[in-house]
Amino acid sequence: MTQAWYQVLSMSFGYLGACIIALIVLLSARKVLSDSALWRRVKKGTPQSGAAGVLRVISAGNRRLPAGTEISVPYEGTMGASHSCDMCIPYRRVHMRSAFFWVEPGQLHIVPLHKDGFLVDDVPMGPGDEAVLRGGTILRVGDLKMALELDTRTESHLPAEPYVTSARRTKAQQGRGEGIGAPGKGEMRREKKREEKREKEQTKKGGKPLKKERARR
Amino acid sequence: MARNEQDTAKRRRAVRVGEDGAADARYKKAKEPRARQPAKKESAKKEPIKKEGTKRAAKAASARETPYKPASSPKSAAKAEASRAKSASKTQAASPRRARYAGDGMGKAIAPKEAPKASRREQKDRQKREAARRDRARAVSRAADAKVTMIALLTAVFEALGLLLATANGAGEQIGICFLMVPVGLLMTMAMPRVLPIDPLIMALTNFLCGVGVVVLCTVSPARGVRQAEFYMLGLVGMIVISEIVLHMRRFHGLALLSMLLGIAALILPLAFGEWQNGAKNWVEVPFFGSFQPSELVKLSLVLSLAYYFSTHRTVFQMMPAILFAAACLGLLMLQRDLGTALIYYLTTLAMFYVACGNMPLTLIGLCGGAGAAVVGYKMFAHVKVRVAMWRNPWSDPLDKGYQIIQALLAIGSGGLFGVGLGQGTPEQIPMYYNDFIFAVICEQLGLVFGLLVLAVYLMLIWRGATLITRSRRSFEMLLGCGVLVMLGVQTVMIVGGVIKMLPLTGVTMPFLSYGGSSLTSCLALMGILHGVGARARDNMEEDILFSKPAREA
Repeated sequence: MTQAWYQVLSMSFGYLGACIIALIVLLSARKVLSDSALWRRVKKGTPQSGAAGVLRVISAGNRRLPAGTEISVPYEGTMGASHSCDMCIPYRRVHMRSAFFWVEPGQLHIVPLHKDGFLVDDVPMGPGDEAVLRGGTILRVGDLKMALELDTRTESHLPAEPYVTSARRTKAQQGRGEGIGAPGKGEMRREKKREEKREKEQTKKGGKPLKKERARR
Repeated sequence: MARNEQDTAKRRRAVRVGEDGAADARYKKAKEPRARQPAKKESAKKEPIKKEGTKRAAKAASARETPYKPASSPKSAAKAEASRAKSASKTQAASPRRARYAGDGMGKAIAPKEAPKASRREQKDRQKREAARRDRARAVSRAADAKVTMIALLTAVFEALGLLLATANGAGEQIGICFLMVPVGLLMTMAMPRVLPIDPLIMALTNFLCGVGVVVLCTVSPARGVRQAEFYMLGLVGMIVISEIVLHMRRFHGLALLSMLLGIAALILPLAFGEWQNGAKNWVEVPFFGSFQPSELVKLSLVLSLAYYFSTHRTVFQMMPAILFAAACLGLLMLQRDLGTALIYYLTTLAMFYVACGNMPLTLIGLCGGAGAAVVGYKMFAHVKVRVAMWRNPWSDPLDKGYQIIQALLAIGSGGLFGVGLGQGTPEQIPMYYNDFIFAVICEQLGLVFGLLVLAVYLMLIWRGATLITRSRRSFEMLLGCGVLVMLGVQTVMIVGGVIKMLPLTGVTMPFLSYGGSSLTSCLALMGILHGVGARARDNMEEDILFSKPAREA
C-alpha cells in the first residue's frame, strides 16, 4: 500500500471513528435513560422493595415532614435526625441519633438511645427500654406522630454485616448505649442519679417507684 | 309423544348447526356403528376441543359439519348464523339458566356462542398488567439488548479496522494477538452477562475504551500495543473474580482488615526496594513478573476498607480505622512523591466520607486540611514548584521543563477537528506519549471531536455506574460503587486537565487508555466492583418481584 493510499484510509478512519463513537455515546445515553425509566416503573409497581415497611407521618408541625410522608424502614440500623442514620427523621425534637432498631418477622424492635426518648402508643420509652412495635403502632415525638406499616414478608432480610449485633443490642437494653452513639458515660451516670433521686422522692411520698411502673407496663 | 319427537328433532338440529366440536363428536358417536367407535374416539382425542369465537374453531366446526349439512348458499348460512346468535342472546337475556342448557339438550352445557366482550376498563387493566409483566422481565434480564449489541458490534468494527490499518502501517504480524480483542470483547459483552455478574453496558463501554487504547498504541508503538492487549486479558480475569466476590461474599470484615494490612505492606515495598523513576519512587521490580506500581492495586483495598467501615459504623470515632488507613496511605505516597495518586486517594476518601455520613462541617475541615497540605507540599518539594510554574507558563522554559506540555498542546492543535489520521503525525515528540499523554496522541491522530467524545464515553460510564449504585439496597454496596466512580472520575479529570493545561500535571494514567499493566488491571478490577454491585441490585429486584407477585394476586 502506498503512502498516499494509507493517508486516505487513515483520514477516512478518523471520520468513521468519530461517527462510531458518536453513535456509541448516543446509544449508551438512550440505554441508560430507558433503563432508568424501566427501573422506576418496576419499583413503583413493586411495593416495599428493600424495606421492612414504612413510617407514615400522621401529623407534624414541620414543613419538611408534611402529613402523609412515608419514611422507609430498613431491616436494622439507627433512627435519628442525622443524615447518617439509616432512618432519617428531620424533625427538631428528634435527637441526632435517637434510637436503634431491628426487624424480626412481623415486628419492629426499637430501643431509644437518648434520654428524651419517645412515646409508643402513648407509653413513654427511655434509654434501655425495648419496645416491640407491630403494624399500626403510633410513634410520637413531640408534635410528630407516625404510624408504622410493616411489610408482610415473613423472613427478615438482614444485611450480611449487621449493624445491630447481639453485643450492641445487650448494651442498649442495659441502657449503656455509648458504643452506638448514645450520650456519653457521664451523662448516663447523671441521668441515673436523677432517676434514683426521683424514685426516692416518690417512695417518700408513698408512690410506686418509676422502674417498677415501667416494668409493669 | 309428539313433544318428545319435537325435542329430539330440536336437539339434533342444535347439534348439527352448532359449532361446538364436542357436541359434534357426540352426535357422530351416536350415529356411527359400534364397531367403528374406538377409531372415532381416537380422532376426538387428537382434535382438542376448540373454544368458540375464534376463526380457527369456526373453520374446524364447519369442516366437520359438511356431511350433515345440506348444501346451502353462503347467504343462507349467514342468515342462519344471525338468527342463531339472535335467539341465543334472547335466551340468555330471558333466563341465564336456560341459556346454560341451551346446547345439546342432554344436560351437557355448550358455551355461549360469543363470550361477553370485556369492557374497556378491563381491557386496559389487562394491557397494563401485561406491560408490567414485560417491564419486570426486562428489568431483571441478564441478556444484552439491541442497543448494547449495537455498541459491541461498533466497537468490534472500530477495533478490527484500526488494527488492520496499524498492520498496513508497518506493525505487521507483530500485533496479531491484538486481533483477539475483537472476539473477546464481543463474547464479554454479548454472551458472558448471561452467566457472569456483568453489566452489559458497562462492559461494552469499557471494551470500547480499552480498544481505543490498544489501537492507538499499536500504531505508535506496536510492542506496547501487544503488551496492552495481554494486560487487557489479565484485567478481564481480575474483573470477573472481583465481581464474583462482591456478588457472593456475605461478610467483608476479614477481607477489609486483610486488604488494609496488605495495602500498607504494598505501599512500603517501593520505599524499601524501589528506585527513583521520573521523580517518584513508586515502582517495584518483581522477578519473573516485571515491574508494577503497588499504589494502583492499593486503590482496591482503599475503596473496600472505606466502604466497609463507613457503612457498618455510624460515628466518626468508629470510622477511625478506615480514616487512619487512608491517612497512612497518603503519608506513604507522599514519601514516594507520587502526589497525583495521593490526590486521588485523598479526594476519594473525602467524597466517600461525605456520602456516608453527610457531615458537611467535617468534610469542609478535611478539604481545608487538604488545601493546607497542598501548600505545605508546594513549599517542601521542589518538583511540585516546577510543575506549578510550568502549568502557569510553560513557554518560560520551552526546551526543558515546559517541553512536554507545549508538545502536547501542539499535538492537540495540529490534529484539528478530525485528526491527521491514524498512525500519522509525530506523537513521538511528546515525552511519555504512550502513558500520561495518550489523550494528546488520540486528539492528534483522531481529532478533537473524537477526543471530546472519548470524554463523553467516560461520562456515560460514570452515569451508568451512578444509576447502578443508586439501585443498591445496602449502604456498603453503594459506598463501594461510589468510591470506584469517584476514583475513576477524579483520575480522568486530573490527567485530561493536565494535558490541556487546565490543571498542573500530576503524572497519573488515563484509565483504560494509557499503557501500563498495573493501571489497566486495577481499572478493570474496579469495574468488577461495579459489575458486582449491579448484579446484587438485580438479584434484589428479582426477589422483590417474586415477593410482590402473590401479594398482587391476592
